[in-house]
Amino acid sequence: MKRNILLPSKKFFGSIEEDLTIRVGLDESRNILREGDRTILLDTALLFDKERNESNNYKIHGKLKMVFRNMYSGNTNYTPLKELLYLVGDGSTNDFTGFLPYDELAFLRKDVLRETNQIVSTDILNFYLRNIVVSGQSQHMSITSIEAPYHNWNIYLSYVFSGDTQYPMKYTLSGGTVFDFIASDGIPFRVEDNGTTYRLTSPVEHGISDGEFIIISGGTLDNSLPLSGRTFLVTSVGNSVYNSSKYVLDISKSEIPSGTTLTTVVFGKRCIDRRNITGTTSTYYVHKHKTLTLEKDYILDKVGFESPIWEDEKKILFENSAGVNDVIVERNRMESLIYDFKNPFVLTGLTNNLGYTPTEVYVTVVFINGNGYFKYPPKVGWKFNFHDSWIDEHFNGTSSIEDTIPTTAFTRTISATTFNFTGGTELPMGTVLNGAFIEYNESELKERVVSEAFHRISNPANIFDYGQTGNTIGFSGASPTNLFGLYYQPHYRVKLRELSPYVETSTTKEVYNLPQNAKYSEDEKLWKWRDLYDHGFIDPDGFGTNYPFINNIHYVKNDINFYLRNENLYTNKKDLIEKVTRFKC
Amino acid sequence: MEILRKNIDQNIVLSSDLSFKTDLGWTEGAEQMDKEILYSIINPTENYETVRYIHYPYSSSTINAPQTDIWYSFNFLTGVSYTQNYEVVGITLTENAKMLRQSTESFFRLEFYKTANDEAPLQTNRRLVFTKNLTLPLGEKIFYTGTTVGSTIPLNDYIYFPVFTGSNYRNTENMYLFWFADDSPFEETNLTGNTFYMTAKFYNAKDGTVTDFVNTQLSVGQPVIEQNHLYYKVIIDRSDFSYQVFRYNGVTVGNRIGETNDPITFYERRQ
Repeated sequence: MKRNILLPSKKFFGSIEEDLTIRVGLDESRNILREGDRTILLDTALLFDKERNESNNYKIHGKLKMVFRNMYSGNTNYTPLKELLYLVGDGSTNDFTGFLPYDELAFLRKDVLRETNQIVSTDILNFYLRNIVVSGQSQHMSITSIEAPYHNWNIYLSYVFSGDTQYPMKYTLSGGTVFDFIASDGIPFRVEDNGTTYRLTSPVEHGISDGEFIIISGGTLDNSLPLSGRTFLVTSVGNSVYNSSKYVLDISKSEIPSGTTLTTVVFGKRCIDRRNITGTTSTYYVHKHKTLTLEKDYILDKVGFESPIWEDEKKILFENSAGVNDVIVERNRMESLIYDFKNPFVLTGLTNNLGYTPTEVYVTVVFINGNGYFKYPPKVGWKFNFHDSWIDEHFNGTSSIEDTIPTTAFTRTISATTFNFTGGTELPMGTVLNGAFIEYNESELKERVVSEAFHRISNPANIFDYGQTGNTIGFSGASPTNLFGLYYQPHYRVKLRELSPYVETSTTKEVYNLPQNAKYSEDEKLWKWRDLYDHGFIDPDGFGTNYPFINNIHYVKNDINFYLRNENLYTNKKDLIEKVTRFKC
Repeated sequence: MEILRKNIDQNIVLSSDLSFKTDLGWTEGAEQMDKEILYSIINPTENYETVRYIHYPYSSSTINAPQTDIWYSFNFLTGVSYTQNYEVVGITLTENAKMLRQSTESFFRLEFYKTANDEAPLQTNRRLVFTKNLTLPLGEKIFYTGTTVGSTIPLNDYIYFPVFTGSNYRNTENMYLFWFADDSPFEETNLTGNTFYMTAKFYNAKDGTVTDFVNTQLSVGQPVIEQNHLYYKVIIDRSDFSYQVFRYNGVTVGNRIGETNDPITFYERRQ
């Protein structure tokens, strides 16, 4: 048998040297019986390294910190909720306008229904006198302390199994001008005539460098033209504003055929080499996730010795809407929690959207709306669907609803008025969810996140009305079918293995020796892949994984700052460019 | 090997690394044995991770929702009857109320044993695997309005009782057990399985005594039969990481206990 000896240092770029032993049996042709003891060289470091890299078990845990300020104040006629509002006033003026109680958005609800033992006054010492009373809320729904961590939010593990190039999207300009496109069209760019050039500005990072090319669709540059007729050199990036090179690029007008008209918004795809458009043009798609765990597969607890720096907001009302005096209400509670999946995740038998064993999984946080106070399921959008002063039409109607999330409807009747609620239930294993908007370039074998996905939730106006159905000061475009609300990022990437930042190539014909992620480039007549780094190896640029390994498990700590944002008040959405006029030191 | 005679020249080519594989089949077996020996004696990868087991929810008679609080209740002997007053073990009401060291340093110890193949536990076959301490100030309390010995002035202070509750809402330690996620560390022993036997002792910081407890009220003169009277049975469930406590008489497993209306009750052992 022919054997090739691969130097450990050649395994991947920067891998460490190690001694290899080759046993040459000089007497093998004549020995019938193996005599004497077998010699085994033991090196605990090598053995540990071997076990570590053979183990597919990953225990995923970390801190989960809520970063949120409850900013929508409104009214409700649903009395169980009205009694709990954090009133703008103190209840003495009969004005019951207020904020949703924080427990409706908390990871760990505190208003659970439970037995409590109240201390009694007595002079009896022989036996303990208990006084069990019931505390917590039960008017709208009974939530036990066991159910509390799962009632508002659920945490799952998920992985990307596919990419959807046909996902329908919208991009809306101020004034309500809507541009429809599908994911494979690329990134939206606003077009500006800049004299000798067209200046294209994207609401997300375009990922295109100076000297690369952009394939445009929009205006008369539509799909009826060949790609080569729509591919233009990017003459420069940036417009002198800090960080603008990531969002702004220029193309020369002289390249554009006469008679061409461009719409206000065009869609662009990155191309690296004009001579090889099909082989070097990026594809754009939406990640499709599959859940890997069930609702109760994780534990959520308070962190013992930490609380975030932001303020808890609670107060005592003079009187609530039910006429009860001295009621404590809570608008914000800065939760600092720890999540921990009970069982290790075994990385085996899965194939990601690129055809190999996933190198990352995701912690997926889904608002489950157990109380049904929000419209459900949530709607899904991307960074370019959130604007400082207007609402995006992408969310109008039902097309953006994350409709794979199961729901349950129920009613409550208060004083002959029936209120309808829709809440969520446990996501079955394998539930498909939409994820990030991705650029993938086959010549680089690399995915780039154009935008993470965001879920948007809002209250039905008949349950809690904070003006979400129409224009408010500084924010326009909302309608009864497009309510502004809160949004959050549902999927958080957890790196399990590291692929090398460089691309390896080979002309070998021995395909069985190629790594799982190798792809054959017809144009270059080469096999190309990225090396899979060993656990414990960190290259000089800091790429690599080095998770604690014990009990045959990799312990992967992944902290999450969970930003829950008010859609109409969070005003840092515009292209992520801030005009810096001066620095304050 | 035989060489047939022919009228043409013949060559025998002997390669320097030619193997006639007379030991064919042995190498793989030996390598497999290597691996097994290495696995068993050198750094075997076993799961020593301890995980948290929560008291399994039960139906509450007070509210129409499952509860998880666990209740323990201890009774001291006073003559031939029982009491829950710490005074009988020497800790005065003042020491109790003022949290003096006599009271803060006293504690109940819950001892958890395993036995081979879950046999009925005896001092000869049990193995202590872990303990939990319930210190006096972790107990429940009342506001005592009576007087102390030698005084006519009401105490009007909080007095602790040997009654303990564990709650996941308040995240109290009494609620949880911590044990291995699986039995791999015990693979070569007969101490595997999900069953534990729990008994209790009281460590008195006032006089240094240690008091044993039994699981039932024994009449005066009734002998203590260890496996019948000393233990409660604790069963963990590794599928949902929960546990339950059951009555145990050495032979059969009784009802589940530890609930609000049926606490895990220990009685001081008669000498």
